[in-house]
Amino acid sequence: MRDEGENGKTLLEALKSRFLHRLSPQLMRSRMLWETVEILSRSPLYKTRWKADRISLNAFVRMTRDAYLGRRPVVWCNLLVPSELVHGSGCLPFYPEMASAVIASAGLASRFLDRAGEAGFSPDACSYHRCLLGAALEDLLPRPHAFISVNYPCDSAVLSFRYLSHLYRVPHFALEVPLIRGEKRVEFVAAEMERVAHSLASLAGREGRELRKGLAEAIELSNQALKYHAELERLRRETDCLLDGKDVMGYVSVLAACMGTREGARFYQTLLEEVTERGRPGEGAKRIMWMHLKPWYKHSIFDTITAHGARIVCEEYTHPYWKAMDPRHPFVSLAQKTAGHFLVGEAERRIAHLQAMAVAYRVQGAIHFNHWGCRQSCGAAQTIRMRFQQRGIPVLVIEGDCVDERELQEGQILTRLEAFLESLRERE
Amino acid sequence: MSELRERGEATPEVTWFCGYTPVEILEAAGLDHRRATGVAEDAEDADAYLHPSLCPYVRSCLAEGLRLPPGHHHAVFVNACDALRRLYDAWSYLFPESFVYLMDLPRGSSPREVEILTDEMKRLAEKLEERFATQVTQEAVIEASRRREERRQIYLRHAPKLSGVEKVKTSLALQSSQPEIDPPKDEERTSGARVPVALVGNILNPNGILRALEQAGAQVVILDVCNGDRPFLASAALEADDDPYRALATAYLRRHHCARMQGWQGRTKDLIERLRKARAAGLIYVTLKFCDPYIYEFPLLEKVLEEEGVKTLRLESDYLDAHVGQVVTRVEAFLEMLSRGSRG
Ligand code: SF4
Ligand code: SF4
Repeated sequence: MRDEGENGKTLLEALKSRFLHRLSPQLMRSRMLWETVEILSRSPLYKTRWKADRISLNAFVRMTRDAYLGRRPVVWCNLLVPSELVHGSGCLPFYPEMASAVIASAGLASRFLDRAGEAGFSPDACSYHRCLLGAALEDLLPRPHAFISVNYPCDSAVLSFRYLSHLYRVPHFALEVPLIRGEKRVEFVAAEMERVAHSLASLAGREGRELRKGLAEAIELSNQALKYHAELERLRRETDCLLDGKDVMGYVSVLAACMGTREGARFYQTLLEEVTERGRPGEGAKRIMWMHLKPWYKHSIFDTITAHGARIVCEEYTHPYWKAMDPRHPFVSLAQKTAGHFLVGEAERRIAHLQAMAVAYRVQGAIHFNHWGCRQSCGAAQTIRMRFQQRGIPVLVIEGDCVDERELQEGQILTRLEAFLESLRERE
Repeated sequence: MSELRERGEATPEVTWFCGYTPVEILEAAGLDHRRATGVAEDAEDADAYLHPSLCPYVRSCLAEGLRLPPGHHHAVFVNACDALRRLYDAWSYLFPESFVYLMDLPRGSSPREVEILTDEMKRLAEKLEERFATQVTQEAVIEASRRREERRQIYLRHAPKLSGVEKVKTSLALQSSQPEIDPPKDEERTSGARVPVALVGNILNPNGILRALEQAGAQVVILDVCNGDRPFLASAALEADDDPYRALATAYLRRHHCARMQGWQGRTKDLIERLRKARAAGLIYVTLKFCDPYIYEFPLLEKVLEEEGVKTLRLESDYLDAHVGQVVTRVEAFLEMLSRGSRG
């Protein structure tokens, strides 16, 4: 939430100025803190860009509060773990990679990155993970009852969760999506998910029938969210739409953690209604696609894009790539969702997916953000650039770090970005 | 004799990169094979395709691939890490006319995972049969596993007499289908009062850090790296009545693991036992930069080793190791501390 409230501060800034000097494991687990957060987050002083942002904010405040206060078993997940599995099993999903994004947007990442460094983690590893490791080492994150990792998009979660499961002495379920295609792959992942769901349900004290009911409900809600989300994306593809990718990228956490909840469905419904209502900007902006994620701290990259009459019309990580699921077959459905992700397997799948998106959204140029240490993504950036260029779509590859602001050479980036945006204009 | 050889055709050579590649199947298909070492000096040539934050082994291998003449790019990759998967992507993009294959590798050894690897191995055999118009028979796989076991025995016989540098060279040679092993050179043999250490890591340039630390006085009694002892620690020899693919998959998933696999506790326990048996005074953790499995393993391993009273030194290599002189002082200080500890 970026909009200004009390004395011109954002909500995060207001919380920082009240609590940062007292930040401690005890504070994070105190009722007083969460009562204040709830009051502040509901305050009309803090306006949100879209009405839907209020819904996701409240959902995150509730889930994070419950996680810190231990109201339900907490399960740490990486991005490709479907949250429907965790909600449906009666536990609370916590996506620590997203927590790193919040920490970075609050300008606090360097402290935790340094802490991870002191513990022996090389600065060559992905800073999403170094940041969450540092915060975990300071015991500032909600304590987990279990970990689930999927072996895609990257190796980082499988490896850092292994360390953390040792630190917290709780189980780590390492879900593997095999490379083999077709039924067998889905069967394998479904069986693994079923095994994990039973373990989670027993943590939450759910019986077999309750588990099935919980999963069916979570999948129904997820399907509802998907319906609105897909419609929203249709609008973005077909029209000049007010919704800007620079904001949509922030919804990666909604897409990760809120699928399978009422708030997830309400979020996309409300967003769709408001976007439809507000109509088009009608400015004929250059249509840009963003690959990988954005830097979460303050910078001028997006202002520069806007100033050059361009707009991010689609983003890699917030695209609803999966189909509606069958609540009668939760494990097969969720396995299809995870195994069908375009970041699973060879880069060819990712490239084909991104190229199809580029055509569907009629993009005129694309930006690939090379997040330092993200081998899976940076490793394919040059191939993506070449393949897009063969199709006549120029790609700008930017080097930086989504979490560690000390690693962003902003001056250099802006010069290259401006030249790129100019060249797009000249192509008219 | 393989069908390829019977037809009098030149035997194609397949390059591979990860120790989990089932070379038995390549041999059973009648193919020559070798483990890529890469050209560390030319790693920058890979910049146009691979990001500099990918491990230097992977980048050096692509640099080597770019130098190979056309028709020499058949390659089998294992989905062991993000970097290797991206190397596969770049290789298949660059050399589409070659046999470029990515095989999966589960991390654990549960029955389901054995099943997956068994299927993957069968599929590799089928793809080789298709591409090279040959047949991979079960007998040939079993036969190849026996040849590999012979090479393993050679390594185990020689290794205790070899310096670390020689071990890496011998290990690499014995991992290919046509091993050429030079007799160990006298001047490289370990001699004099040396400090016995275990070396743990991923891939070593034999002429880099390893040479420097031996010169500094280390005697490498355990060389737990991909191009050292690790590939030879466990047998994967098959019996005549085995279902070869299943037996091979089981052996590969149960052998002594690298940091990438699950069962980390087992790996550590085993390492500590070997350390004690070999009377290693300490452990040097030497890894290539940008390698996530080892980056994330170290803090945990260091902690466990500390609890066991084992001292560790961590060194990082860029695979070229041109500035290796800078680490010598640290190694000397570490060895000095270890020898003081053993005297005291
Ligand atoms: S940024 Fe890349 S390496 Fe880091 S968690 Fe995400 S996918 Fe993994
Ligand atoms: S050294 Fe590490 S990153 Fe490089 S190929 Fe081996 S496991 Fe992968």
